[in-house]
Amino acid sequence: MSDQHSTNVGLLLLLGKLRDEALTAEDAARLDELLQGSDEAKSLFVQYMSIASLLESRGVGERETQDDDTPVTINHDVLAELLELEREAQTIELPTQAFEPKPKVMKTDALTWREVTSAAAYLLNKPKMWGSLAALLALAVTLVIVLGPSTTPAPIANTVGQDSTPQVNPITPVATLTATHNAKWAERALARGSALQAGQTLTLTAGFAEITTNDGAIAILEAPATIELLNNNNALRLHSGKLVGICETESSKGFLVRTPHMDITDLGTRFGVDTSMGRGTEVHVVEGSVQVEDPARLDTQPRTLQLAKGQAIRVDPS
Amino acid sequence: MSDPNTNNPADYARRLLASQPRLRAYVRSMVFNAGDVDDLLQDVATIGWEKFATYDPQRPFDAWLLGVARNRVLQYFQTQKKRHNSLSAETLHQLEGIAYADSEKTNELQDALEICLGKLARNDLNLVSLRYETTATNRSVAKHLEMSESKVSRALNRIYAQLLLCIKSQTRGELRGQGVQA
Repeated sequence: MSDQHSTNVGLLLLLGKLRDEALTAEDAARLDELLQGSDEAKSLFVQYMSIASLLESRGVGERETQDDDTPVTINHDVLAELLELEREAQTIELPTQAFEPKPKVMKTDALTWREVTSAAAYLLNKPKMWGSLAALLALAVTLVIVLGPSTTPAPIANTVGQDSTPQVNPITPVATLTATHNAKWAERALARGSALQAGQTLTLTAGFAEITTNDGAIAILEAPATIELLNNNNALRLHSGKLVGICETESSKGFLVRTPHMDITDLGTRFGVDTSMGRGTEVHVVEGSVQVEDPARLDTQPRTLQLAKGQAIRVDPS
Repeated sequence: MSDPNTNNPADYARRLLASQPRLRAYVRSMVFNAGDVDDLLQDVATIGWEKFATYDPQRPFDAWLLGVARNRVLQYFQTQKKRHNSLSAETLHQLEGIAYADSEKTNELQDALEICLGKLARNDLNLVSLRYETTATNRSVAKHLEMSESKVSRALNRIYAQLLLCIKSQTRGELRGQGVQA
């Protein structure tokens, strides 16, 4: 191998360390030296990191794969030499179950709100994500109503909404886990497509998850969040955390989200709920309308309010 | 895309998302810590919204937003001076110029990458999928596969090299940074 080849292989190995955030001070100095001396090296650097970025920001599992290696046809290329050097030693056998396709992120500019909210998880896929999304939602909010002190949640049997949709057998699946992004669960690992049963409680400790009820309502959760599937085909309880609800089909209208401080019935809309702030529960209506009702109490009648697009409400127990 | 409604966050969000691959590739080329990349993208998204009213719809949105990102990245460079394992300011500024110019070709790069991922051997694609599908790290992937972390890293080196080669042949030199010739 020529000196130039050695230099180029060295550059690629340093880029690998950079990609893995394993660059030492000595590595950085060497990399700096290599880059200073070559515009081509700088261009390779940028392309390498761009590839890393594209891989990091999208799944790669949705593509069909080939069983055979594509032969390297470019001779006398340092990259080909590197391939030849490492091909035999570094081939890794993976269990087939390690591979699970995922939906592709849309990159069209004709995004639906659902796509926006889903894609936002990829763009801002760290804990700050909700902050940005909520900030965008909040910009559309024209009215904030703060109800007075509420009480602790009433038992299901005493509260509204539960009887508005048919109950199902508790062991019957009432929803499906339809998508995840970096999701981790406290109870056990859940694969996309898992059936979720009435009475099941799920705690999302990291990432995002999309749950679709049997009636077609979509709930996008951001960790940390705890939900409980209720005994019907179009309802869940959000014990804590943040949720975006989407009802785009006729059958999904009436989707009920129960929270500690209010019950939210979707009337065909998109809305965000946040119970994680330590100051009650907040709901923002992005489109359409929702009906909000604070839980019934033994001593008073429940209060009901309908919110339209651009409106928000917070119920603060303090 | 239609004329923007600079008071409409959904319109901004759509444009922001459409610009994401180019924006992220540019920032990632300059910022080597994944957490910092996300923080900067967050900042750019916020600053972009604050300045959205000044956006001229005659200009491409992604180019406008990249200008916002460029200012933020240059600010970031100032903080990098204190880091022992960063590149020199001179090199960073040279790289920034190339990254800024090359970001215009991100879509082409992305298309080529799609094709080249499809040409990877199944095991290699599975490894890439494992590594980038979740919040995985080399360490977690290595643990999952019961192998050494360095073996995972070296396998990724090989896969990246293969992708670079393939992209080079796909784009026939239309992109800059086509790999290093012997």
